[in-house]
Amino acid sequence: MHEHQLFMKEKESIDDLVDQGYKIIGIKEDLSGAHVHFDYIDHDNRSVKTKVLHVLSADARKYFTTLLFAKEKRFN
Amino acid sequence: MADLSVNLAGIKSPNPFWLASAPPTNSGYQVQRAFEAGWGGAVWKTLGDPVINVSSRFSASTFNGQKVAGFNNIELITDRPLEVNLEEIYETKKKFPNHAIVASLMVEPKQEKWHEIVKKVEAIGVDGLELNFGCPHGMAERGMGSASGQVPELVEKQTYWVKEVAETPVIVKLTPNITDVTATAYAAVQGGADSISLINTINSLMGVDIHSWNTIPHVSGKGTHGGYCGPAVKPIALNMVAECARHPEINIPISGIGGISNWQDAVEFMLMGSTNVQVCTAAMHHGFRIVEDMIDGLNNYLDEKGLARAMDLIGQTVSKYQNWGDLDLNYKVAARINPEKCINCNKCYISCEDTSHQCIDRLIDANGKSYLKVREDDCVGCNLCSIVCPVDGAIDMIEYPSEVAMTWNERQSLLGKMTIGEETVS
Ligand SMILES: Cc1cc2nc3c(=O)[nH]c(=O)nc-3n(C[C@H](O)[C@H](O)[C@H](O)COP(=O)(O)O)c2cc1C
Ligand code: SF4
Ligand code: SF4
Repeated sequence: MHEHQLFMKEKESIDDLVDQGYKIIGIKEDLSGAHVHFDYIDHDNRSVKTKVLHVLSADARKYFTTLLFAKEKRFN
Repeated sequence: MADLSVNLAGIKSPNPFWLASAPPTNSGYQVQRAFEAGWGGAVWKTLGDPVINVSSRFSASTFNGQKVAGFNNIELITDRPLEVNLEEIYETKKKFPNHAIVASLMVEPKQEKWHEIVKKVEAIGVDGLELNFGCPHGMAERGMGSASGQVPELVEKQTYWVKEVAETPVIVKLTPNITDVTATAYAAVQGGADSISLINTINSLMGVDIHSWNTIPHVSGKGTHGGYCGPAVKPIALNMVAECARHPEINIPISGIGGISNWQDAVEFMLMGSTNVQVCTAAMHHGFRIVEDMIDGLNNYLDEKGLARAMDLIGQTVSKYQNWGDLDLNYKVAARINPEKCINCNKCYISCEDTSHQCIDRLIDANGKSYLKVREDDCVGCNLCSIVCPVDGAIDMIEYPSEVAMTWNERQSLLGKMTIGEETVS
């Protein structure tokens, strides 16, 4: 698969979760890429669902950190 | 017309173009002709205990038939008695009082030796001193030159000894034959140097003759390592100048040396923090008169930029030279092939396909004509295709500025706050 196609597929998965209301709550990086932990927070602020995406492509690893970084910048 | 004069740690010259300490500054005859041609200053061929040189001293690399890509020498310091050099320095200074004459010095790492030569040289009236801690061959085997220039303690100590007696500004000339040039540059600062100059030549062996199995050059069948300089070393020199210029504790003026061949090179070194530049190989290759183009070129450039003084250039690019971790990961460039200019040589296709990211497609248009197109989404912007393309303007690197700039360091600090232990797969 072309790198860009892999990136688009991974970006889509990240965007899907974000659109559903999931938030990135933790990241673990190792030799095989990044494991991105998402939590869905319900109205009572209790975590109800957790998902982990294994993100491989460099562009997607950059993408999710940029999302977080942009958010952090907005709040600072 | 802009003011080209510069002031390096108190040493004034009518323009920033100096001849480096080397064969072009071996004698009064040469330096006077150089000043007549327009050079603003000269660092005299290194003075010290006179040496004996070998014959067959220089060699050079050509690139695709073009001379001289790099230049190698096994010459030592001056082989003329000190008094002869001093007499000629005196005469030259008398004739050219407004030009800078700096005496390059090299003696054994002993306090009394440094005191002796500094006093003798300053007595005839030089504008400054340059301590040669850089010569990589011959002299180094005797504990001088780069042998002492590679040891920060020796650089500091010898600079200090010179400063004990020197009345003129002291420039410390650094060797590039060291892993981190800022270590010795900082030692020079600690020793009290007024300026640093860099680079001297880089250890090199020009070649081996595959027919005779002799080294190139050889002296009666034997060879020894030399010092490399000329256009090939410019990127190495420029980086070393930049590393010193951006170092917060190296805050003395810099004289830039290494592969400078024209006014554009000089401007680059000045933008990267050099107050002036020194030239050796280009003058040896083309003669003293290259300085005419350097002066005109610099003048026109300053006028075009609306700058009144050459000194306004100094260090303008230094703050843009940073650690890799401070570069924006989200900035992107991508190659675009211009079909009007492309001659279909396929060089870009081969380089990208074999050694980069396989993102140039060979396509056929409606008229059955083949053409190349970059899949910009897959292009990582490595620049390789535009580097190998033989036609100017056939490949443009299109810039895509980032919406959110994020550096590696910023990313890592963010990840630091979010890193968790073992992943749980849902
Ligand atoms: C043949 C030759 C002799 C040199 N002799 C000296 C010397 O005596 N003292 C010194 O400080 N540098 C000496 N150098 C080094 C030059 O001053 C300069 O640092 C070096 O050549 C890099 O500049 P370039 O690329 O413009 O040649 C010599 C260089 C060459 C090529
Ligand atoms: S810039 Fe690099 S990746 Fe992009 S097309 Fe050229 S060679 Fe390929
Ligand atoms: S290297 Fe340049 S000229 Fe050759 S095919 Fe590519 S774009 Fe065209």
